[in-house]
Amino acid sequence: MTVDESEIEQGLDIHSHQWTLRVAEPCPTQFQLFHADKLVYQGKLELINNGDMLDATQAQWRFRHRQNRIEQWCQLHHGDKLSINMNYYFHDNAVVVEYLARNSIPTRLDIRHAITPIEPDVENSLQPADLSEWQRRRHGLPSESIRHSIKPDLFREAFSATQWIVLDKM
Amino acid sequence: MSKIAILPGSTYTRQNSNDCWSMQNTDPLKPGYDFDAHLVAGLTPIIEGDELDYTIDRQSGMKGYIINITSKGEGTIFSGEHEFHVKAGDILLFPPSAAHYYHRKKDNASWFHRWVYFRPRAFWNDWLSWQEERNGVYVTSGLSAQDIDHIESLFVDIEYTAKSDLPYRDDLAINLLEQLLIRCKSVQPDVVSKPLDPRIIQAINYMTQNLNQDFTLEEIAAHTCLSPSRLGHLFRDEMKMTITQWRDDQRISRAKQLLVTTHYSVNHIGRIVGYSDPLYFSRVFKRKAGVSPKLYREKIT
Repeated sequence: MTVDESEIEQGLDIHSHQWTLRVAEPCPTQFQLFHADKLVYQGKLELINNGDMLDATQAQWRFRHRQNRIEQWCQLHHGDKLSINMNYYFHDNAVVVEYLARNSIPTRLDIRHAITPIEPDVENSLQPADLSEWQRRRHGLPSESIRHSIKPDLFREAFSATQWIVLDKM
Repeated sequence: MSKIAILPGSTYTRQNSNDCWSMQNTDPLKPGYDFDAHLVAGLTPIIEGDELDYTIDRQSGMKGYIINITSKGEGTIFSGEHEFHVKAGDILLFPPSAAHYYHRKKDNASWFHRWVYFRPRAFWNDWLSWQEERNGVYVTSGLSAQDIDHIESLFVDIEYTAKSDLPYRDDLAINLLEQLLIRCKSVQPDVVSKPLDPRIIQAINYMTQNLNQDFTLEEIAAHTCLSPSRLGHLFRDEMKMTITQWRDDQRISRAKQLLVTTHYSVNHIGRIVGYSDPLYFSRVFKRKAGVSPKLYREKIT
């Protein structure tokens, strides 16, 4: 269901064990990750188009809240028209964030969250704290078997990636 | 969500919008694109509120087939009593006659689906029917994550290859499409079955190696150390057809390949696949393929 304004302002939560992920309208480009009601990590959206950082804080974000999933999407006008959708959910022992986007003309997009630890004593609860290759995967690139002859063209109309934040206190 | 109806060979309509699409469109994601090609591949990235967020409605289907995999999000196929939903990893195969009616599922913010439009080669026929069919559209779902990864990577590779500047890119893309179709056929529940009896495999191998010869049931039976009667019953149990039917299917399948890939005469092809009598070859061919060898060659090439 699409959520009402008051619910979004307070924040939309999904839970898994003692972990809570929260997305709120006042800061639509951030998410917060709590463990036992303590804020331990914060994610800040990084939206990079052709090497330039775009500001998505002023976009009219919309939200949909399900029991185990939060959806967030908007249309951003930055010269071209960019549609963005981010989906958050828990899976196995990780927070999963899906990034989907379409620009009206082919462009070189990258979308991710920069993760910052808040509580030093629980820093080790995310393993590892920095983002390594296996934690983030860009979808839609050709397979290894043809990559030697076909160079992936990153100027695309569509963008799709997934970021996993592995939690070891599940 | 606006709605666009695209009927082959006719104009389209777009409701709830003042925008105009170009009729000579070179973008297959937008109305007016002429799918007059043997293979076109792409990804349709639909996000709620985006300009691509509309309903595809082609009541008469298309000239060729479309195979489609949901990459992310969810889509809705058909409406009313025929309506069903697809999620990541679900695969659809639209034959030419099947109606197209689909859009993003209303309670999901996105539907990213990859697709390949193609005109099939004659010998692909067996790969183009799947076990589950809904309103004329074949559906495959519930595959393992490993199968889905492999199949989706074939979709991606087909698109990259077809759009590349590689020599023989069309042939390479069609080769990858053949892999995709075989892979999809091989995961059908009615294909994933118990292994064949080794004596039946022996019989099949014998017939395949001697397809152009006039072998008898007794010769095959001797090769498999079974009596002719026992072999006949076992073959029918395992293959759901008689030995003669299976042999003729193989011969006609091979003849179809030769008709579209060589300039050999019809009589010569008949002899190559084991029919010394041209009239008998034409009669069997017409019974299996629905048309004479000559007409088949004209239609396909």
